[in-house]
Amino acid sequence: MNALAARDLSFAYPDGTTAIEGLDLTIEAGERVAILGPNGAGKSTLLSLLAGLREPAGGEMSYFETDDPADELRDRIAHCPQAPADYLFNATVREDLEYGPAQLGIDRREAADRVDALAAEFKLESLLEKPPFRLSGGEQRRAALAAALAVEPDLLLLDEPVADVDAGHRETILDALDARNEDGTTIVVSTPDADLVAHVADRVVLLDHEGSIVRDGPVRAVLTDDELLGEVGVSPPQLVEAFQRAGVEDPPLTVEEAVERLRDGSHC
Amino acid sequence: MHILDGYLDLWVAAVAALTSIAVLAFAARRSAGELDGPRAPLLGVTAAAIFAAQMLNLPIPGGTSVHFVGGAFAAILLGPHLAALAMTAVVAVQALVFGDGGIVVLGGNVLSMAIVEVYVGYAIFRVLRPYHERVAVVAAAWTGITLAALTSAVMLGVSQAFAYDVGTVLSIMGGWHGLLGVAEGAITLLAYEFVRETRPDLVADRTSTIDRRRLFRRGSAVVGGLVVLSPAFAWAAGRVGYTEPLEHAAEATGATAHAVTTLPGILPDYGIPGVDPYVGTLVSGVVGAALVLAIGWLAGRPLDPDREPR
Amino acid sequence: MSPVDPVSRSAGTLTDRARGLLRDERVAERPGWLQAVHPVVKLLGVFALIVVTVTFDAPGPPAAMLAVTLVLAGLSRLPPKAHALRTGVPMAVSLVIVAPQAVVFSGSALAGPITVPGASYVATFVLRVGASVSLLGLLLSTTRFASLLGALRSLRVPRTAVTMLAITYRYLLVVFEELSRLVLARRSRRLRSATLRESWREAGALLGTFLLRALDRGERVGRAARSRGGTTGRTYVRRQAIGVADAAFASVVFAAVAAGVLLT
Repeated sequence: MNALAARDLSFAYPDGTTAIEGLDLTIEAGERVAILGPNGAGKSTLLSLLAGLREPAGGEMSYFETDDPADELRDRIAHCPQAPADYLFNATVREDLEYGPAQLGIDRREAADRVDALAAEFKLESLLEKPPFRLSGGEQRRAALAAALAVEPDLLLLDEPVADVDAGHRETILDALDARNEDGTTIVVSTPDADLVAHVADRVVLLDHEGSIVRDGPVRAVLTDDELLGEVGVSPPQLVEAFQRAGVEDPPLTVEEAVERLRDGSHC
Repeated sequence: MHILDGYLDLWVAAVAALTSIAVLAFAARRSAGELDGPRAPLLGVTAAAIFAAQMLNLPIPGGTSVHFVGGAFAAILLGPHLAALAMTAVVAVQALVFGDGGIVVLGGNVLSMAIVEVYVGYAIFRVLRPYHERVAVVAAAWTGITLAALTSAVMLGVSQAFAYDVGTVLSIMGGWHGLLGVAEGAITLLAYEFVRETRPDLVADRTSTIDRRRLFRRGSAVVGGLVVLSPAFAWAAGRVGYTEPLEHAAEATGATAHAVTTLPGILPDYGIPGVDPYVGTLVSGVVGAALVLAIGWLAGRPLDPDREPR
Repeated sequence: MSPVDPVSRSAGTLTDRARGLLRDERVAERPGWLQAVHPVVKLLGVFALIVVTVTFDAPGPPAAMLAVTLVLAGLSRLPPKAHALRTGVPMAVSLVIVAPQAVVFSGSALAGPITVPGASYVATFVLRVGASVSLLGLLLSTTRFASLLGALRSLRVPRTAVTMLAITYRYLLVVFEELSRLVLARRSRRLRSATLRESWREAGALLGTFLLRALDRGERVGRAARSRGGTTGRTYVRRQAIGVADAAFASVVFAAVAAGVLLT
């Protein structure tokens, strides 16, 4: 089953600028996909289009192989925007975590359990009664992700999910995403950061400056194609660059992988 | 222009609150489809922004400064109903967060700053736009703020708690805000021109589907109702005035009318003692009604697509 | 250096406002009498007290009410200076506005042209305003805005209205900061002081930029709300137990209202 399918999608901003034209994209249920592209490629716009939050100028979106419009599937699709401040619009963090469940008519006891579990998972317990504007950028990011997960979605679209998060909390977020994916949640992440991609995705959709898909393939194939990455203006992952410069054919993508290889001594 | 608790008689605050609620209910109904969707957050954020923008000090000759109010500009950007709701949020948050303006008199502040300013500003803009866009923007902002001040002045003037009479308050507040309105008109025009250059789609002429005759009929019904009810308000005022021993203040109001009035008000007879209060209120009700009808009719005219000039 | 021009001074105004808002949020978290009162009881109680206050026609009762509010402020651990400013400034402004009435009212002379009824009216008016403003200040500094919104919901205020107020409050500090940034950026680029004409042109562009950004943000927040199931304003009602603090406050309100009715 596919989680979402976009056919011949196009979009123009109200001032007339074209952002996306004739885009086709299918994402299977349970996949982990990264949308990678330089700043200004229209990643955020694409992600909100995929979430059914903007009206496309042309083309069609479908979810879970149904004809239901996105607005009727809000209990299954969650979208976290680039700026968490835009997402946390309630008076307290607790109200924000409860917002989705309340809108979808979920039983209050069930909602309370979910909020407690998410607050513990994302280390938000001491922040629950605070207004969101008193949170730091990283705290807001965690709260927004927790709020998105409160509806227990099947499809999660995240716009730069670890921007301005410190190292410790970055692990918290990545672990949470892994855990959801193991339970079958489809995860789509947009980012300009190639270093992040290998941690959150198995498949990469690479966009160029005009917002067209220039490559769609497995993480390893796309991230090691330094020529293509250079053309669209994305720096390759630092590890890949280092190993490639050292003349290694098949560079590691993550630190763990690199450590393993170095221990084996196969590339020393 | 924010009125504090203690300035208005309770009956004035109550009448203003009821009027405001009625108009806002109408505005909410007219924009119901939009409010259910993503418009409510848009309005909330816009209201916050207008609040912030009101803190922008603008220099005027003489070393002092004035500030932007924004009701007319909101009406031009959002349309009158949504703008009235957004400005209500501004006024309500000012009272409920910062204590600018009281809570018992909240309805009065909403009436002048969120309703009169917005609807009058929008009507003027719509009427004049086909002839001269820049003039329309300036006139909308100026008239909006001036009539809003006059509305506050009437509420203060008819309140016995505030010992000055209507004529005095009208001339002072009207005169002062007539001057401030010039600044409001200028800054609104500058901001409008900026928006028109960068986002022409936001201020584009939208063809409206409002039926002029229906608008006129409904307007007449509302205004007619208010006219019929106005002696009742006067009667209520009389009741409140008599049950509360504010007579000495009332007497003094009479004295004030002769001693302090230096400029003639719009309705000089209104606050003069000796005129039967029932008749006085009825007369001003009729004049107000005529004004509202005239604005409504003028505003309705360009809404008719067939008549749209150009 | 030339004096800072008004547009740049706006950043200071914005900062002051933001500080005031955050101070109220902090005071509302302190342990104190009124902080412990249920927001619905507090809102209705303060409303009733203001209604009674504005009907007094002699200086005595509103002065007594003002005194009561000051005691309440002490028992709720309000910062004295901030509360005094919040109450005193509107009183001073009101005094200036109605002061001529001290002369205009006819009656026996008190001192010079000032008459007894005139002085009495001015004192009553200013004390009425002061007591009302102080009461409202008590409500605002001891209640978190989230609780106040909860109270409005319990009082059946339409959900859309409460949602809008919540969002306006939520984004106040965000837009304050954005406007300050715009104002400061403008000042940092300016090498000499602006003429009046330049100031206005720049202010127009600044205002336009700021409002357009706000509209963009509003649309983004709107999309966020849509992605989270809409803006019906449904929430889970939270119950707060009524306790001793509520009973005590209710009796203060009751006593004041009863005294008010008996006195008038």
